[in-house]
Amino acid sequence: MSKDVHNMDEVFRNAMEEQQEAPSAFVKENLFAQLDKRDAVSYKKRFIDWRRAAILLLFLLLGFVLYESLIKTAGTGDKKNITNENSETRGKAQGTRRNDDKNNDKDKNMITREKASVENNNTATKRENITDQSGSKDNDQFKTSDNSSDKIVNNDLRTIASKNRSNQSITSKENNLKTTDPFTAGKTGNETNPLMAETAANKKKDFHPQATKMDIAKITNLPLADLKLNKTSNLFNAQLANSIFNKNSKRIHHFKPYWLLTALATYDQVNYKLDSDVPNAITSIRHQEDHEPSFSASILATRQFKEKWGLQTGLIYSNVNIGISQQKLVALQDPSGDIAYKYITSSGYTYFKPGFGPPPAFGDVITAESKHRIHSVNVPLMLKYTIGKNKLLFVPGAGIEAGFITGSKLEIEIEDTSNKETVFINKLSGTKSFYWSFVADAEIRYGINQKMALSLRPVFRYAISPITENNVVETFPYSFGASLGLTYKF
Amino acid sequence: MEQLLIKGCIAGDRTDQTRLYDLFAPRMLGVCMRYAKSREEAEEILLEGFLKVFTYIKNFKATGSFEGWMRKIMVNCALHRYRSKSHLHPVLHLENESPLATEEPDIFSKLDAKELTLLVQSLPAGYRMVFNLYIFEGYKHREIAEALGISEGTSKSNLSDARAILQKALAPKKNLAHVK
Repeated sequence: MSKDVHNMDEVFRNAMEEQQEAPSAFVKENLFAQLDKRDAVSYKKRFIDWRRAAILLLFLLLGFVLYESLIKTAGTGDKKNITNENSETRGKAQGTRRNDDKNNDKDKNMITREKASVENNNTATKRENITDQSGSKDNDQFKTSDNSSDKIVNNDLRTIASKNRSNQSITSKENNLKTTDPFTAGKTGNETNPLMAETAANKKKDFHPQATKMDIAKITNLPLADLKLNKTSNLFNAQLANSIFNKNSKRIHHFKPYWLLTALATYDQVNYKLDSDVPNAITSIRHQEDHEPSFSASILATRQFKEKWGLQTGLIYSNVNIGISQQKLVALQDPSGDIAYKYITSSGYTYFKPGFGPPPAFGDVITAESKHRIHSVNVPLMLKYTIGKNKLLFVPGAGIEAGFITGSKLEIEIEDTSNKETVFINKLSGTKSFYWSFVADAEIRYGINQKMALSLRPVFRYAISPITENNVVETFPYSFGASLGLTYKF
Repeated sequence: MEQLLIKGCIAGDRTDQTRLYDLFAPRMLGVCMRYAKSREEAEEILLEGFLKVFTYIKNFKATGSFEGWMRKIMVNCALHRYRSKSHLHPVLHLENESPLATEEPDIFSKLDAKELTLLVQSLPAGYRMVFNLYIFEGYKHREIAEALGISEGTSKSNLSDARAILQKALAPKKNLAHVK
């Protein structure tokens, strides 16, 4: 009987082993339609990450642009005010000079040159251009101040003077074209302001000293009464000029924004906060998982937009290592309906089948031990504050960090009574590809020379959004790190 | 040739995927036919199996035969299908087994593969699975028991029952063969 049974088996095997049947066309069509659909989904998913990165970079860029523009606006705002107020002053002054027709010819010559100055005056940031165009006449006045070294203040004063002159020239020309009484005009001019006579004597009739005095008072923040103008000098006496320029040299300080580039290597001690509704899930995972020392490398760029304040961003590549102790895994039905062993970690889960033996059946148990690695690229955006002036600087900062999980790998060692195998899982299910963190650091920077500095940077990160979804636990990683690196100023 | 096709499939090349399908689909359908109750069901298993083949082809290690790897995927798909519908399959218990001692092997050789396939397909699902895994995949009863989530005893019993059913089904053909 046994022989016949085996014979029958053999016959079936021989007859059916190589059996072939052509499938219907529908199968092929359906197969490739499903493959196309799946490819489209994965293509879409692939670009979601790029889109997120692009949006983030856009935000960063927008932040920089806003800061830059705000700083410029704030920086030029004061000067614009001065210009506007100066115009008002000029208006008053023009009343006293309306009849100054002695220099009509000269004004005519100047008008074309100085109209350009008036136009340029609309923008305070172009003060220097205006100064250049306003001619050397006013420069002569300032040369007498014995403070020609302070170019900044000189430029301010020159600009005001030039604006004053140009407006008056135009106005006087216009007035002259209308009609004026030279006697009244001369009288008014001289009586209103004694300095008028002086400037006239010096053949600087287009410059109004009263306006200048007020303007200087505004620039220097000195009381108007303190501005003792000396008739014997061209404009100021040396003492007054010194006080003005000394004050101004302290007050007007132009900070030039600069960049810092920092390369850091960091030792991280990572841990996590777990949330779960499943009883014992947190305890179980905490008991099994042990965080090992992790490392990260970063390139950070800091825009020092103010003397004390800077904005930092960059790229941080982080590698977190977790050791998972030996545990029993149970075979369950995976989402596709297959029976496979389910491995749950704090950052996701996976289903796998061992290469040896038959496929697992529901409820089968296997022993496994694993190593888990999470790779991520983080983009921080931090506001930094600089304390200290000499070589040693303390630069604390705080901000947010966008984390992109690029890989969550699992290396599972499985064994039964007769087999041992290592299974590599490259991507866990239930791991989010993007999360947010709060980040704070306290950088200590020691200047080696003008350009280079040594940076020691203790840093703390705390995830404010979980790195998992649809997992047994919600995981919020946090880490303490110590970074060491170099900072380059350019 | 096969290696080039595999590389192309890993890269997601539709042309290579089509070629691979054309090359192996008939053989794989032959495998699926044994595990399915009908041709339609076999084609469904084939479709599901090829989707998995193209999804996991990057995991194929060239240490064994590619056809063997594909065949295993098809069998797993069939088993999965069986497990997910196992509560729907009736289990027959044959009380009177027909003796096989008097069977003449020559009779079977006169039947073609299609007829035998139809006979196998006519088996109850549980028996069919055990019969196929034992006869064609070379599984042992312990492995069959693990794969199907049954006991070893049930596996042995199912195989025996399957053989008995097939023998019964073949009896008229045997008579015909004798007449011829």
